[in-house]
Amino acid sequence: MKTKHAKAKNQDAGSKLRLSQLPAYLIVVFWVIFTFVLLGWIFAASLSTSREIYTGEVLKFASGFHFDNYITAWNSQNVSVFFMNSVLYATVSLIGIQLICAPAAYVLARFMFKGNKLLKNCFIVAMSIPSIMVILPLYSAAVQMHLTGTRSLLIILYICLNVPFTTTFLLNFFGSLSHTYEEAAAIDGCTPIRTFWKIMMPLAQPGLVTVGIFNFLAVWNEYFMAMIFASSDSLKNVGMGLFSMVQAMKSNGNMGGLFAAVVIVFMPTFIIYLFLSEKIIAGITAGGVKG
Amino acid sequence: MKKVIALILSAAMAFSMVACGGAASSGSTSESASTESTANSASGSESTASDKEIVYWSMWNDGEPQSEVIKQAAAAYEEKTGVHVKIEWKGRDITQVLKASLDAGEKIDVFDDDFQRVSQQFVDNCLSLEDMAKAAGYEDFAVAALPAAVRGWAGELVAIPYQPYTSGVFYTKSSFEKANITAEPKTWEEFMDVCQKLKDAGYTPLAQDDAYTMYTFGFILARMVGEDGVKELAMNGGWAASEQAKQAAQFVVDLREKGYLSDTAPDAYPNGENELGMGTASMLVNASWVPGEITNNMKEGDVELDETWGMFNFPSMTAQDKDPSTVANIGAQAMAVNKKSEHPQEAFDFIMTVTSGEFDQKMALECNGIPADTRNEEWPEMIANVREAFNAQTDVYEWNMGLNANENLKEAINDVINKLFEGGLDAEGFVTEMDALYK
Amino acid sequence: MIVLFLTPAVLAFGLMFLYPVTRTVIMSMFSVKNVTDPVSTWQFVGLQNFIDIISNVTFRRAMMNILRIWLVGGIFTLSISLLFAVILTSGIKGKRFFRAVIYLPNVVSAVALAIMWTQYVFSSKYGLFNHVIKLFGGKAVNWMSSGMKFWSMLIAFIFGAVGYYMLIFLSGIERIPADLYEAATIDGASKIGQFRHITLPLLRSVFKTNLTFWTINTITFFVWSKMFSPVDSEMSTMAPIVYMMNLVFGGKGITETKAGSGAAVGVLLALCVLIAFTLFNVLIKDDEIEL
Repeated sequence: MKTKHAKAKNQDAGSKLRLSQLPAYLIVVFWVIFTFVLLGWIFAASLSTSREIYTGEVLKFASGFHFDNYITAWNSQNVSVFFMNSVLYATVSLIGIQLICAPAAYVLARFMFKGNKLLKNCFIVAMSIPSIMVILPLYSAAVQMHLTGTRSLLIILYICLNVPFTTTFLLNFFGSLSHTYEEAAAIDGCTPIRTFWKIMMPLAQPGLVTVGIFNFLAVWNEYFMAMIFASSDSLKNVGMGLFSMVQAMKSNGNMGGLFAAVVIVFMPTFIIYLFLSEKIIAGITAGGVKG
Repeated sequence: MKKVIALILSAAMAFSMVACGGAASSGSTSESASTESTANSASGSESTASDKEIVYWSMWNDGEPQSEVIKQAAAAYEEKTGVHVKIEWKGRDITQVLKASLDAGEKIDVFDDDFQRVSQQFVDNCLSLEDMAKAAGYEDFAVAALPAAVRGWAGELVAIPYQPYTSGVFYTKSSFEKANITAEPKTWEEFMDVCQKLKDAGYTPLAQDDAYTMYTFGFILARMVGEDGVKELAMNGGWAASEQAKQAAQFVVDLREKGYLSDTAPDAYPNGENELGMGTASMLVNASWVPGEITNNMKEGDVELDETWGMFNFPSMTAQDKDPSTVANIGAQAMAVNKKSEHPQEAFDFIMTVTSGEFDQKMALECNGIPADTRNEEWPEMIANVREAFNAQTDVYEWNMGLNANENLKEAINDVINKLFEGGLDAEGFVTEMDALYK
Repeated sequence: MIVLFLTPAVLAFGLMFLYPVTRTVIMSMFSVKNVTDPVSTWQFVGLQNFIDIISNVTFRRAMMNILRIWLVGGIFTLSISLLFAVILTSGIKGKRFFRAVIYLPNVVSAVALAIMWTQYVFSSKYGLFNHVIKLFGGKAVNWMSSGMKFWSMLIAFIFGAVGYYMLIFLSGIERIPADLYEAATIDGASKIGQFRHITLPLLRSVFKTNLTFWTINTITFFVWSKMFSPVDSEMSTMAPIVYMMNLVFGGKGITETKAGSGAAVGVLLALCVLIAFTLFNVLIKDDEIEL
């Protein structure tokens, strides 16, 4: 309640422009313009030739707009493959993460049992373990079990990797729901498992959506795991795909195509961000402050 | 608390046992492991050639000009023999995954990477190709220096080099014409004269990228003390005690002080080499892929860069040089056959299809490289001028002419050399700072 | 039901964190050539791996680099993001727009951002920075020279990071009860005074969160290092993870891999995280009021 009150106050104060705020505006506006110039440059570069990019003539468009960069990137530079892989990895692991984490979070939040606190703490500790601590054994195990070079390996890894964060996030969410729903369900003779699926899951939907968006974005641009576990072109996601394009630039030399790829890769996340930014931001702040 | 630790440990044990079990049986199960190839290998014992499949892990990315040529070669090979080639485009990161995958018994028949890396890092996983190469008459048409280099590192022929490159000083012919330079320089003195003439004609004589400072400096130093001398310095130090090391640094200082180096040198790769493409700089120390690279970078839609490229051997430095100017860094990519391959002859035949004859010629022309098959007479126009120097080469330097020898200090050495090129150090400061690394 | 709901999450945790971390720690005390070598070929060497890496110039420089990133980058990132958070909550108009734009770089792939910085902003001849410097009559700077490269990389990194930390600060400030400010205004406290005596003390736990995230972020510093030295790893942009990857998988010109030493790098980094977290917990007390 307090929070809402504070917000309302702030907005009241914002309704009139004061001279004392000028420096504040200047700083923010400067930063925003700078951001627009940089991101705008990326977009302009995607419509330019390699020569224009290397010679600093991107924003002049002297040789016209090269929309064909997008076609080249999509078809011959495999961006379509990277793109579809990212879609696959992100959606499948998103579903997998929620199927695993929602029940676990629910149980941890609602039931007291031996080891409850220990498990919660384990997940919190796991969130702060740098990924380099885990990749070596995982890589060796994957090679020995002949799982390298498969999409399922990456999906499993992405799911497992995000379990601690997602569980911890949902834990807070389930914890904040009222107990009366379950009591009513119990009186109606609903089994606990049914109660969870039919009543608690729908109630938790806002939380699931927020953490889902967050997982999606994290997997979409993921780079480190993909570098080690997706070594073929046919398995790469967009993050890794872009990087190998940079490395192959030596023999390709198509910088315009590279930036077209950057824009293509950026678009889905940008669109998600545009429409759901309030939810993403809410998710980050909630997860951040608690974590 | 103790209980918890015990639990954690036992869980970890259980996991590691699973992992070890996987390792022990991996050898015997390798046949059925790769899900995609199960169908083929299951009927392997009585199969005719038409059921056979070989797996090729490639250092190229799908969509590069090289991969296009290799695809065509694989199709032609399948057409002729009925053996299907399954290609996994791994890209340059193949270096990272190859060793582990080979050791783990992944189904790989053919793989490729830089020829020195294959001959040193992966040699334990390579099948000796001596007999098959002899039967195919490989030596008759190979560029002799390349298999010789492989044998030098690995002791025997374990890989077939292709797409060779050579190195030296590359320049734009238009700039030499404008500066009225008729003869290519052979000594450092002549080189400095050429620089002055280019400067007078309004050019930046020498461009330099940060990624290649060790390359240029390596050339200067190796001319005077030889590659082994460079390695000795890199490994054990003693830079200040070496007159030649000081002199080599002085040569770089001269370049900078006389204004022969680009203002922005060493620039972030590839901005240095692009100065040639934009017509502001004239010369560059690099390898024979660089004309193609610059042309690509300067592409304006469908309009190609209009430039003729010249190339000459890196000049002799002093009268007391250890190496003649006909020694250069020659390199190549190389294809090898996995020791565990079940179809070694087929794998070798596929390699020969790519690295000789029709497809070698095609590779050279499409990728602006040098043919690995001496019977292929046609060189891409862009590097036609390299041919004379390439054929005259008497000996081979490794990449960075021995400066890479010290694995622990490689990056630190590079750092000091960068400072030298930036003008932050004089010759005396350079050797002192170098020696400080060994303390 | 508890068991049923928890098992998948616990399995994921064991598979992804417990087993790999244990094995990495053990591996760091053995001489292991290849990461896939079976345990039977490992040779116990005690702390030799740690001694080896600590006595290596390149590794020491890598640690030095991330220490500087952590300290210098941390001061700048956290102060800029705090400044923005304060400005945005000061009743400024267009708050949602500014907040969205400042966060935007976080949704763009780091690979793309890095190319934009190296090819455009820092370009010695055509770059944005040198253009502005020349406009004011200054002398062009070689941003990518060995002396400057590290700082250039840091600037780019800070730019990309500010938005994220700003959001966390924002949510913290918005939860501070507005009546505190009202009372202070009535008492005649200036804006700056309010910031010092109300905002800062009440942001302690948010500060701790940000510090924690910043620490993990620097420890796992990798993509930017790779992108600022695309051809070969360099001293000025060296990071421990790059060094570790070279040790484990072999890089250009490295013929002998040392997976055991690589694991030791991982363990050392994890120890750093642990020490840092303990310090934060001891030094920064949580707020008196639960926000």
